[in-house]
Amino acid sequence: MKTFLIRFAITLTVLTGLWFAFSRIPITESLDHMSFGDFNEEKFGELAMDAVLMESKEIKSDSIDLAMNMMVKRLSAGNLFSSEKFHIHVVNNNEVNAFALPGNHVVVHTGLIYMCDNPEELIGVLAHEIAHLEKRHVIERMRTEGIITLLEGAVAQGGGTAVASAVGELAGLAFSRDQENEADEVGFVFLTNSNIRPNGMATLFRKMKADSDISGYIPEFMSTHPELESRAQNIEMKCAGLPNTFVPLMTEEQWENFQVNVRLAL
Amino acid sequence: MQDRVREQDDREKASNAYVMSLVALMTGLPLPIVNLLATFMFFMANRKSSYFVRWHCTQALLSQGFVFILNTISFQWTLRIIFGDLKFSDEYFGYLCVVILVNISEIIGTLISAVKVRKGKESNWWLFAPLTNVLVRKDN
Repeated sequence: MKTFLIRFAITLTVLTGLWFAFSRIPITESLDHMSFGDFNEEKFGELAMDAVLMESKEIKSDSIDLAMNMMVKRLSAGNLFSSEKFHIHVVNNNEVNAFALPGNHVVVHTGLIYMCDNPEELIGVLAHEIAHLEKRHVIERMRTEGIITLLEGAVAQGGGTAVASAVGELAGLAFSRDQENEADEVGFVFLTNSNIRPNGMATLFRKMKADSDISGYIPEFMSTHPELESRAQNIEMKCAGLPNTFVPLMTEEQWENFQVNVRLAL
Repeated sequence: MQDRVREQDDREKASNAYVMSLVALMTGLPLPIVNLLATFMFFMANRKSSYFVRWHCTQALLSQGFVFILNTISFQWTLRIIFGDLKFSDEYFGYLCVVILVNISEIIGTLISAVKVRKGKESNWWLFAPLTNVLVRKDN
């Protein structure tokens, strides 16, 4: 019996190893590329960014780029993704919003940066958006909403405003309840793996909830579902059981300087 | 002469334990339970046979049981992707590769065992032979 148990354990280990190895084959990514025809995700991303920049001006500043890249690097340090592949764009728009676009673009409105009281709130949103990208929610949503077909048709017609209109749909893309929940959970893991205090997500959710109660406006990263209050509670419950090993992203002074730099760069 | 006839009969029965699972596999696809049921019924029908026959029926049943578990998981996973809440993922693809690999190995192993046993040779599977030795008693 002992021989069998040892051999069974070896077999299970080998099969699990094979499963892990086969799972590393990026088959879903390849299928996405195949289904795009002449397009690829990067091309969609470029078109989408062009459309966003037609509406809002991108803020280019070394100090802002440095701060945003530092945040993404902190996130990637504790997780299995490279910070290099993400393109973070801060755009001048007072609407409190942030969203992910194909090609690993993340757009952050200046309105959101002003709303955040500390860097943990801002990085909470970044973690959420990167989670959407890592879990390929953007591409999935584009497919289910028919935006890929729309884009291909627009390009076939000669591009121009048709493309811009199709791309415009991307910024307002609403994720499903499951996708939002998954992005919250994965974003939370990204933060804790990087020793970043994750309750910034919850405090920002609450602030935005109060704001949306007044204005009726809810940005993409908050979405109308699942309920904002329950999302904030979920995060706080998870935070309660965590050991306090968090390393601050920046000092209060650095954060204030960052916000001032954003205003000055306009 | 009678011993030789019985021996020949035992070889055929033992070999059929493996052949049975293969035939059922061909007819039962994609339902993973059919080949297990066929092997189990053959096992029950031969539980009073000679040690040689019982031993190979048990080994065939154990191998089918193992593959059945793997296949059932992939079958359920596939159904949930088609009709349920799951989506096609790299993990699913990886698992499918493993299951296909195990099934191919199992079919080849079964064929080899069926031929060897019919010739009267022993065919001990690395994983299941030790457990078969524990489960099948000689003095019965």
